[in-house]
Amino acid sequence: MTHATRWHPAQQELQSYADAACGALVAASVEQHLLTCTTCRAHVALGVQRDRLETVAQLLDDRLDHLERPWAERLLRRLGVAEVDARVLLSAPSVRIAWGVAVAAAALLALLVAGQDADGRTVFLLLAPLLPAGATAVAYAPQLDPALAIVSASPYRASRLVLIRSLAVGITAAISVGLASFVVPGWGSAAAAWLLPALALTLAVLALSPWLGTGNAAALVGGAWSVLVLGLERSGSDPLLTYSASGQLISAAVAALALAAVVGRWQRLDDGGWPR
Amino acid sequence: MTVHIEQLHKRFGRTTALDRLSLELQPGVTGLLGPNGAGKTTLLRILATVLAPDGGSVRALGLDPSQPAERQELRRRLGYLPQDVGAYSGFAVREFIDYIAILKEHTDRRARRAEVDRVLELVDLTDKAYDRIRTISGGMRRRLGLAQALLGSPDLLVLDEPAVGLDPQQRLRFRELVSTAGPGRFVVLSTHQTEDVAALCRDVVVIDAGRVLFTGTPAELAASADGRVWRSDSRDPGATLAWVSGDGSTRQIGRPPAGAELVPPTVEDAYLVLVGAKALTTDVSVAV
Repeated sequence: MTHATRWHPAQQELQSYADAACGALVAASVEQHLLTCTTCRAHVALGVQRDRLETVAQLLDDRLDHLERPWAERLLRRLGVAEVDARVLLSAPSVRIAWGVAVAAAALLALLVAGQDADGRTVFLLLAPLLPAGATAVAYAPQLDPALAIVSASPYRASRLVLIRSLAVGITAAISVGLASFVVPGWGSAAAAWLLPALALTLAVLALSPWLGTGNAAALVGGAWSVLVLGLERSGSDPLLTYSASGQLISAAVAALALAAVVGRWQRLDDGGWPR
Repeated sequence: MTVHIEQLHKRFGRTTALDRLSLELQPGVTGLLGPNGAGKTTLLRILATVLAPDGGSVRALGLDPSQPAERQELRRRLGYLPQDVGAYSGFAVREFIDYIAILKEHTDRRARRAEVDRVLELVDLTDKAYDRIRTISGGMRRRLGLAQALLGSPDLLVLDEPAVGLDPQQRLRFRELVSTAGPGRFVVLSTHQTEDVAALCRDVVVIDAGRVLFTGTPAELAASADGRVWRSDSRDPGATLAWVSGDGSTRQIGRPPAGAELVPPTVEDAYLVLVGAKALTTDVSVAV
């Protein structure tokens, strides 16, 4: 709306406002006047340098974009994660479900083993390495990403997508289980021994997924691990053997083999099965 | 420049989806018609590079998608609307389009903002931009899918049943949108709506059981049924399909009896002649 205005700022004041060179008091006064005076608005519009206008618009856009995004994405951006990677990581429901599953399962595990002795340790041994593997399988499951068809038709590489989501979920699950391991009684630093088996199982799931599907791969790997741990217990052997030096070596070997298979498969992920 | 498909083959278990299918598409709008399970979606998914064929070759926009670098380049230049638009329901409409724009390498924020606004305007979703996807209707979801496919004005637009769920007004707008997609661009769409094909498409391809039954213009498709469509008071024995039309007469397709009152065939008639009784299993809106 335009009102009849008797007073107008001097041309010099309008120009210094346009150049952002005036003091706060003058700026406030000019700004108040500009709200009701189309003539002076036109003067200022002509006086503003285009590149300055672009810069201000860019700053405004950036600020608006920043405010619109969830805190987790803003945090990742501050940590130096590229915008596209942060968005890919946080957008898919599968990743959020996997995170939720990992944290909830770790909390449940902690409750389960807290205050128990040998039994608690066996339960922990059985389940701890499975959690990161299971959570990674959930994050990797195509059924849980409804936009996968659209994403697959974009130039964003499938291998990068899998890597980012697997890493994020695997690390979250590992931290959650790591925290849960503190409640295992009388174990001390040995509680960290589950990390290598967990890495081996997670990589095995990723390596087998292209052939068996994510669910089947997770079931197979989880089943094999369960049979091993329970078999040792039933046979009278100590299930802690899986955490002995030789057990750790075997885990490392399995992890290395699975990693080689995953890396070998990496290009195939981007190929999407196209004949070469 | 064309889209060239040669001896394309794809099986899912024991089912052959595409059976050595060869096709050459010209710039403009090409409509794919066929019964359910004919292989339309499989063909479109392969064209959109989200599914690899078991055999055969595709060359689109001069690019070979079997080569990783060329496939990446093709993905930069194509827009794909899948049959089921799997959008994240917790996202706002604008947020989802922005996400896909990021994946499509629209990295400059201001340009991306403008492009997102543009495609939302094109599909008439500007006033729903900040609504959660879970709260919008099925037709709006379809338009949302179309909007993301239009990002960057792609040279190849692959649309799987784009008009499903659109009301008549939106369908007209969709036709306008697609028909003005731009000279030299390729638009390939599958549909069960023969009237969309007649109104929109420069070329039409009828496929069934993974094979091409017809390629040509809609007028040529209609003409292919000359002498096969007639009208009478009741169903004749030679009719493959017959239905009572609005004027009370029985419109029939098949082998007309001597002296039958032949009528000019439509695209729908010709499609029904081609696919015969299988048409009964499709969504083509014919009351039999």
